[in-house]
Amino acid sequence: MKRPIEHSSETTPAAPPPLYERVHNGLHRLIERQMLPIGFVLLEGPIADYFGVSRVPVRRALVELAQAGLIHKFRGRGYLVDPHGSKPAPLRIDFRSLGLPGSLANAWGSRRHYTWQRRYDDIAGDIARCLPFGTYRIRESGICERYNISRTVVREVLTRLMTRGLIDKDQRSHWICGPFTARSNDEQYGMRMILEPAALIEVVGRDHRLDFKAMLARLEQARRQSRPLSLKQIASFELDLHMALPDACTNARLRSAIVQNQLPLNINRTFYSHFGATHDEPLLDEHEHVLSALIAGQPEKAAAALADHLDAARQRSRARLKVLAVVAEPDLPEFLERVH
Amino acid sequence: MSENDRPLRVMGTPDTLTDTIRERAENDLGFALHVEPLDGLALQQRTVMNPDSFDVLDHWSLSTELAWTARAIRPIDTGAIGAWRDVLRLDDTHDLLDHLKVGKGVSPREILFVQPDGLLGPEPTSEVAMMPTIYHFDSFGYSPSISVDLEHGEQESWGWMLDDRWRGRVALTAHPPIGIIEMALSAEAKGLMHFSDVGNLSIEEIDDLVALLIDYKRKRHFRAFWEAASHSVDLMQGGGVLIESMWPQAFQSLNDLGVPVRQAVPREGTRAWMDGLSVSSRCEGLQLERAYAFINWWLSGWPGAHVARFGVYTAAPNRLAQFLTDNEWLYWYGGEPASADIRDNFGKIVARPGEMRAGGSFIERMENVAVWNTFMDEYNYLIRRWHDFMEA
Repeated sequence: MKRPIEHSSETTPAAPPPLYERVHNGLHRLIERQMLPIGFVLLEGPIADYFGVSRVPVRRALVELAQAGLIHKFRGRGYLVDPHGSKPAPLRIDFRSLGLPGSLANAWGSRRHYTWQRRYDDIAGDIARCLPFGTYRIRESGICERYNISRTVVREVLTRLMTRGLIDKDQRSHWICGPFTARSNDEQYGMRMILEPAALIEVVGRDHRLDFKAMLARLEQARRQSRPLSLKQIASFELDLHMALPDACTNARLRSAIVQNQLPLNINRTFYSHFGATHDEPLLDEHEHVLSALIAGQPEKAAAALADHLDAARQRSRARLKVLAVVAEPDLPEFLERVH
Repeated sequence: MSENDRPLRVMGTPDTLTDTIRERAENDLGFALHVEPLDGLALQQRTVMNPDSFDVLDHWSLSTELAWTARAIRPIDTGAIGAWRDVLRLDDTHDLLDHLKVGKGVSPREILFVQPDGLLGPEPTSEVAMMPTIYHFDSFGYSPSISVDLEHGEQESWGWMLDDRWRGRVALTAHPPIGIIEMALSAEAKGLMHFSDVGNLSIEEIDDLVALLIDYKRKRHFRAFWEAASHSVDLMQGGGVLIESMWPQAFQSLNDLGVPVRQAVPREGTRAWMDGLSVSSRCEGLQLERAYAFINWWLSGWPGAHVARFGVYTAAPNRLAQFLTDNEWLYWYGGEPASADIRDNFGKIVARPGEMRAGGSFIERMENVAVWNTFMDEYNYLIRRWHDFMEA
């Protein structure tokens, strides 16, 4: 008897996500990257125009964002952008006057999502976790099984991860990753010390939508708390300074070079996940120096402070990597096979 | 149990957590100690992962860096340590801290003081991450019977550990940070490899050295790899080993057993180490007071004299006067011939009049350090490759 043919969706691009989800994701990222000012009043009409959809999906997206606490209803019409619950005064300005490039709506909101995109973050996360613990071979078939996706999709993801510098191919064309060494740490921080200050200068030299005061406020709020910083807080500081800021840079090659050299962030995450953070991490002071200089309109000083921060972070990350030497290898998915 | 009855929990290297030392400390201090001997990787793992499981840590100076980075230990206020002015000082002309600069690798001084930026560094401040207690200059041990294989006038060398003349009769410590240094010194001495900095190997150098060692292992060069120093004693006593990594107490034990053994003074210099006490970052209140009392006790003289009779140096040599005889001081520290019998802590004779220990005075030995025990920059990589060697 012939076996039934499985019609999986893996080999063909997945059905695009519902419209409301695209709008939701787009708005979420605009808020996260502070491209929508705190207190900005969100109205259905202009958002629908921006994303090129009807008002119905916009309405649903707004309800969900409100449930997530990123925006709030207020006395007037629409919603206030208020991710920190600080109840800001309403800022009624025309959505179009924000000058958000239409490409963002396409990139974040409306582009069709392919299967590889849905698994990209999961697979990248699996791989990032193993990096400090040795050299691993990545088995395509293992990823297929774990995530129930086809080889084509797996190769798509892995090729993109290679472009990002997370994995590589050995001489026999096997996918491999790791080890993350003290040398890789120094090299990547060395690149970041050149690239990130350059991106900062480029960004602040022209019209941008970054809210440095809000970033500083987040730091100061963390400084006032007596409990240790949460991993989420640390991730949000990193997002502000090391992702949102370079992301606002118009030079795409510079942006991608920065992303390629940010692997050490994973080392710090692994370290914090084992040992926790204190309430007074040195990064608070160092980020504050950068942001204060930006707010004071001193980009050169900010760029120098950013380079100093990266140099100090380089040394911390190096010491943390040594500590991870005595930490047992975490439970890793089977598609990662330790070579040494 | 009231706080008063809770023993001070001391975790660390078995060499200094003996019953004799514990009993004496309890007697002198008036409170109970709970000692937990643990060594090498097991100790480092417990230190960083469970800092609430001990009050005081007795560990290798190199581990200070890991413990500090993982926030497992707290700074020690040197102002509360009575003997501090004598720590690593002999007299006005001998600031031993300065001597710690000799040798490659990370000397204990470089990770001793808490710097204003919160990192550890060599510049003296009022806080240390570890209070130095003992130190020594190690090499390998060998059976005098190998002299038949030696050429006339052949000088002792680390290269002997990888010498084909003794294939199958060599044992090596299994502790990665120490074993790798000994093997690097050996490969370099034999002219098999050259390192740009033998105290800080690069990725390629680690790979090449591990490949070389795996090759030697397949040729059955190594008879055994030991974890505990007591195992090294067994290996030399009747295990067919002629040359091996060896720590000071093992020489003493073999001497007690009547097994002839020599400590090499390799022409390339020694592998130096320091141990000390750190306080858990979770330790507070009465236990913190007791932790300081215990540290002060360690530097008070008796413990230093006790370890001197194992051949190990104390960090506060000035405090030894009333606990060591002049003969003992000159023999153990001065490197001079004994003027009368030298006995160990159990009354056994370890040297007759006229005999002297290998390596000269402790100052001379400080000047002859090849490498300090170190967690190299690529230690995370090294330890995983070392396991490959162990499992090959």
